[in-house]
Amino acid sequence: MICAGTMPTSLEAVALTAIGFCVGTAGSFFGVGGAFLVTPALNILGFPMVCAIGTDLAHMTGKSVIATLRHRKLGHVDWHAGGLLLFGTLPGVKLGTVAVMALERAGLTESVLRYVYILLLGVVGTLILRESLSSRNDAEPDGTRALLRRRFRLRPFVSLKTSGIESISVWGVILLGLATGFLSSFLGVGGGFIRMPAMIYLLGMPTRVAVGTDLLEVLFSGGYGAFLYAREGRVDVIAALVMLFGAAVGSQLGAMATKYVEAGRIRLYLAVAVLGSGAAVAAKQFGATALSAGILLILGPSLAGVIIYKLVVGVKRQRAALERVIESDLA
Amino acid sequence: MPHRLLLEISSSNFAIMVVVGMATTGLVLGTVVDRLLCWLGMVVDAKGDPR
Repeated sequence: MICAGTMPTSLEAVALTAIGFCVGTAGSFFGVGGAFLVTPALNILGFPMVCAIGTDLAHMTGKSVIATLRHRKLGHVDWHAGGLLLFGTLPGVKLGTVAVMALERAGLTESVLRYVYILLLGVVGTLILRESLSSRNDAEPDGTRALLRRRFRLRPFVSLKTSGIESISVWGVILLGLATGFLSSFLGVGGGFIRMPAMIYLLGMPTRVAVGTDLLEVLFSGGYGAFLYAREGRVDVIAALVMLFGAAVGSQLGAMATKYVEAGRIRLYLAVAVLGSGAAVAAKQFGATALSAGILLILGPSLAGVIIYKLVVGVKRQRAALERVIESDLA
Repeated sequence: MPHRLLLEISSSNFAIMVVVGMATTGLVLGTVVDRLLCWLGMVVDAKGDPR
């Protein structure tokens, strides 16, 4: 398959729908775009790299609309925080692009970017893993000790009710958006894997609200990226639509699962996903391309499987609890 | 030059159509799947609680 907008064969359509479903489920559960899974998978299907990124961004736009709306219903989206973050994210993306261009002129792009990416994913993944293993499953990290709430006291301040934050510097939130926007553009990834933990540990947001709010950011950053790639003719619209069919189901299920999985478990699974994708990038850096693709192809469906399993168990338990209440009322 | 300008506008319009089209499709598909999940008894109310 090439980036020509031709109709996919039946087998390709099944593969695209499956990719959309897995990434929709995992992305909506973690609050990330899932570019780390989609781009290599599309590449394996025969998409050139640039077209794989463009097609992923286009489907991500539709998928994040679905996931954000579902999280909104669950009360997991902090619109004020999302809006403030965007003020930093968009200039951050631009600054990241400028830095990449400078590295490219120096001929250092590939090696520097990949090592920074591996290091960042390794450190972030290890820190989340350590924290989530040491805390209770239903416990949230102490938000009042979050770095940007405690140390960054520059006026004006804002109250983020949905996140349960009484007072935080507007500049602190914008700065976080700027830094994560820069990193996402600099490293060529959606940035959700960095932004979502940053919202939890640096802003002190509850895990589920960080997931929903990050998806709002993904909607805008994905839409902006899709626009840029589509303008260059690097989007396979039909493939993106086919993926969106799978993602429409997956992202609803992933978002619903956040209601039944303890916050600590969400962070634990996130740590596994971050470390897994870091291992895949490291394998690629050292020439083991097949191993890298294998890790990602196992990681995506496994995460989706665990999330769906947790959702089914949660729904069954809640139904049983409701039935018990009804029975006791009747008795 | 006018031809080049036309090409530029056309590709930008196409890009806007892709983004708006994807977002709208997402909205429609999301609503359809939401109704379907309700029908299957997995979601009920505005809070997303199962029935």
